[in-house]
Amino acid sequence: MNDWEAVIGLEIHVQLNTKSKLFSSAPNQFGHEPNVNISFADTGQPGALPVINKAAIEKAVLFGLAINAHIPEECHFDRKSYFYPDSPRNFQITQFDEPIIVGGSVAVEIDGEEKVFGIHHAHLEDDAGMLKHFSQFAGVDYNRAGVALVEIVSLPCIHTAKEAALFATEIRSIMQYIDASDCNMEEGSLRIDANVSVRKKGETTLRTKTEIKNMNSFANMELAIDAEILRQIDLYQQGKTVTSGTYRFDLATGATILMRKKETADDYRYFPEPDLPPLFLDKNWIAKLKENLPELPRERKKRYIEKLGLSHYSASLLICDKPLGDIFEKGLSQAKNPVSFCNWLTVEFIGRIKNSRKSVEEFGLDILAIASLSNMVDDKIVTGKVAKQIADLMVENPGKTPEKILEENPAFAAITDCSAIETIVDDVLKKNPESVSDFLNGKEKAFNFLVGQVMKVCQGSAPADIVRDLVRKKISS
Amino acid sequence: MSEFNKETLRHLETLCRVKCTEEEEEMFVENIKTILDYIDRLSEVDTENVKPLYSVLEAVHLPVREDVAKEPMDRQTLLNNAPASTAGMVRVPPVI
Amino acid sequence: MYSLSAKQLSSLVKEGKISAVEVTRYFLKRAEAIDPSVKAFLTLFPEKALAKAHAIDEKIKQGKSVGKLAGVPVAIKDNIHIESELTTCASKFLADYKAPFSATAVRRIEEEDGILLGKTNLDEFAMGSSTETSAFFETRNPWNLSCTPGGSSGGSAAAVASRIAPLSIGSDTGGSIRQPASFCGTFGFKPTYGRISRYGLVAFGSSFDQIGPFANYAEDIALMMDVLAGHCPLDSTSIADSKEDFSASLSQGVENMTIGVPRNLLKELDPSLIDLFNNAINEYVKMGVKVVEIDIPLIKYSIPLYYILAIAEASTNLARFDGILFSKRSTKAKTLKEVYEYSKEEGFGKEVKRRILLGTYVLSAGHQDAYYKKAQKVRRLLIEDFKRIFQTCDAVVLPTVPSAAFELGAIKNPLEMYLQDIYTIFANLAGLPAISMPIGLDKNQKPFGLQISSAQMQDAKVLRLSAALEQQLKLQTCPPLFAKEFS
Repeated sequence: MNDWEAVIGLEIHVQLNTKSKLFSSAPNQFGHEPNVNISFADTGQPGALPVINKAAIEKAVLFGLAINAHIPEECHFDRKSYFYPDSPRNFQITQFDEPIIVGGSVAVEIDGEEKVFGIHHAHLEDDAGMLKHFSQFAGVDYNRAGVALVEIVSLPCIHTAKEAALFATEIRSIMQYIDASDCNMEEGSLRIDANVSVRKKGETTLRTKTEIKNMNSFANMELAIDAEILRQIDLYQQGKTVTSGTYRFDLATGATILMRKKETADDYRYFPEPDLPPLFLDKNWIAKLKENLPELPRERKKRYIEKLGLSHYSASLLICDKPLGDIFEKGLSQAKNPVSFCNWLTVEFIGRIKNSRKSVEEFGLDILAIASLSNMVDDKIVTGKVAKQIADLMVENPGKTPEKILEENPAFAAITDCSAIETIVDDVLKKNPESVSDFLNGKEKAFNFLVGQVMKVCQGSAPADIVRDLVRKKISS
Repeated sequence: MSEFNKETLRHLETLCRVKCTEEEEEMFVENIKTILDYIDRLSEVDTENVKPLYSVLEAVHLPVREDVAKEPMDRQTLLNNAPASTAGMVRVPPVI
Repeated sequence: MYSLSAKQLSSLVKEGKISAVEVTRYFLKRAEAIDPSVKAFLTLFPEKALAKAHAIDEKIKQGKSVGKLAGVPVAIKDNIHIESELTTCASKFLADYKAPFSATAVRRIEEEDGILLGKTNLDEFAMGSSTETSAFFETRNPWNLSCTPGGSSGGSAAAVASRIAPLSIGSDTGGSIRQPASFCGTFGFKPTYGRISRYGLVAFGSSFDQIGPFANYAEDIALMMDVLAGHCPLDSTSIADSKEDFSASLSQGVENMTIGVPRNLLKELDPSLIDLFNNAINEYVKMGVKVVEIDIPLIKYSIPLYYILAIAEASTNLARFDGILFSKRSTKAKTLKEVYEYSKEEGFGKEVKRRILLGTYVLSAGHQDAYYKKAQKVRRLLIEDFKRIFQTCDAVVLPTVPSAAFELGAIKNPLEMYLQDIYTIFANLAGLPAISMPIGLDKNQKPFGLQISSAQMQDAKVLRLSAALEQQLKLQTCPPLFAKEFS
């Protein structure tokens, strides 16, 4: 097994979140009744013509900038001919030999090391409609026909299923960060095809590859690729050969299943789309877009770890979930201590609302209020323990600020007056002589008990460290 | 060029889904051979270092449209022209 | 009334001297009387036309302004959409297809108060030079009913020539407006590529197609260009800033202009036709136009270029006619494969099938370099050649077609039919404006046309030259059979 290596290439289709489709003004919306988001051009009506969506070009270029690709001054569109009911013109408008984005790379962290994966190119193309299968017939829904896609083709430089998943995750992240797509695999706005082949380590040529399609999650993709690698190695070890074909992954059996053989290469007869003159991109316009490129996931992660001092784990959490990261950013403007604020947000509050399946904002919580609470603990206005109670109350009453809650519960305020605590300490020590003597006899547990008792009387409003100090002092005297 | 024969034609029929009768195939092979022979004179022209032409209009660069969703095409108009439809979808034989 | 120009008619209507309804009724009567023998129309809309005419008369009564084409009936080639009317493209495939939207060109005609009279016959999917490949019937040449009117816009040419309508529009991909104009003795103009929107024209060769007008007078061609030309945001190949006052530019005269004549192309012509041609050139000389001899060496590759590039584009443009979504589905088909194959087998005529197969061939793997890519390079060279030529002259003048109209059924060999376009294709290859205008009759009393072409965007120059020659020749251009009233 160890003398084999896998060579994997990914083709990732990302549906752009533009309001209208790539070549028509039909609405780009998911999940409606069939054939309600259609136009003349997308349904291939004779006499209809394509007119390109400016926002689609912008998002494609932003992506190219984010992956440090070359963006040629001129590119054009091509017709790709094939017959299928979901393709109303029986040709797709795509980019074959002069795409909008050439080269580029993404860097990914694997086991603490940075690995760079090259991208061959990325291009714009229009999506096909959907074929819905029934027993006696099939139905065609053109809602999706014409939606703008960016197809990203990696170099065959990926060698493990895990690398593939991380690569795809990074692409997804970038797309979300530049607001080009929500990359939702379940809704189909992110689709991945994997091309897999194996060879003996040291071999320089590539062996026959197979294609895996219709994987609906990153986890399944990893499993599928691993299964296919094993299947191919197995064949070679048995002295057989691998034949090209298209496979799907069966989760139940954990195996890749052949969908169709590839006997002859498809002849798509690509040629330049005569209805669309070439696209010229102005250098100055690209430079301006570059200036306005939002902070990318890797940059944000770096900042979180190096400048804010967040842990790797916390930073990753905030990067992977962009909406969460975004409200964290919002709260940062107010939070004095990013590390504790992060903890309050991601552990305390998310922990409290996770069963609702809502985001912090959807739940009605104000991120600035959470930042305030974090500050209150840092400033020792309340103890950590009391803050948790306040958090409970904030979740029960979304919209209520911690300041308001404190106002309504004066007892929550941290006791700053040491003499008041001293009195309580004296009292507790007097009431628990056995514990005092236990402690003096070496029982640490007794100390904690006494501290606990003081805290109880103070209803958590006494800062723990102060209590401990006082108890210790009083006992020793 | 004169290698164009019935096999070539049959392959083309598959590519473009245009089915021909036997009689048409006979005729088309002859016709297309003749036409290709005539077309072949194009090879006389020296096109060394000539860039292929993408657009007849050099002055026109690809115009762009603002990203605004407009009123979609009426579904009934689509279905009225369709040979068969069911539940708002265009109906075709089952696809394997 | 049949001998009035559209410009004159619309003036009379605007001035209240005749009503739009009167005009419409007049031409509808002519259609009723003439079309059974000419067979120019696939559909007529008498009610719709009269309704529009009434509306125009109302506007005039109320003192409101009316458009440039007020009250003038216009016939539309049946590959151009009029919303909710049939667009059949003269094919069985689209025999029941109702256009979901109107072409920009049609909307502009309607906005200028033109009256849509009906849809005219064509070669199936505009593929042909005689209107004989129409799946429905053949159109006849009004000058000689046993001859073809030319194609593919034969119906539109015949409708105007026989004065059933003062105006019509057709489409030109390799000569489909100019050749029928020549055969039928009318003016037929193909503008600079991108000048008139292709939105709503069923595409044949996307980088070749242009919509253009037919008329019996140069001033009417200019009038139609004023109406039709202009930028269209729904067509990405539409030229911005392409509005011009063509009517005004007609009067600018042609003195001191230079025309280039490719003499060596004329060697193939019949002597009587050479005479007609030379006569026309002499008239230009009399008007103070300079004549230079030019050579267009690459023009002999027109047909190979066209039958690679336009046909390749067409093979993909017609792929959508597959029995799935809007074209006739074969009743025999049980599987998906059969839907495609049987529908195309039954839906397409032979010429269309032949061209789709050829177009597929020149794009297919292993052949694209030798054919498609090679042709794209030669096309560029041809365009460069014309740029050079137009530095030495304002316009190029040559015959439209090598001969006058041929008999129906006379040309059976496809290649022989393709050679009809030998003088016209260059304008589509290079995107140039080109007109065909009548310059006389041959020894068999059949019309012969002169072609004038200029550089891209010089449409006005072409129209000026044709208007000037028209003035000089003062021909009687109505076919004798129809040069009378039909009541």
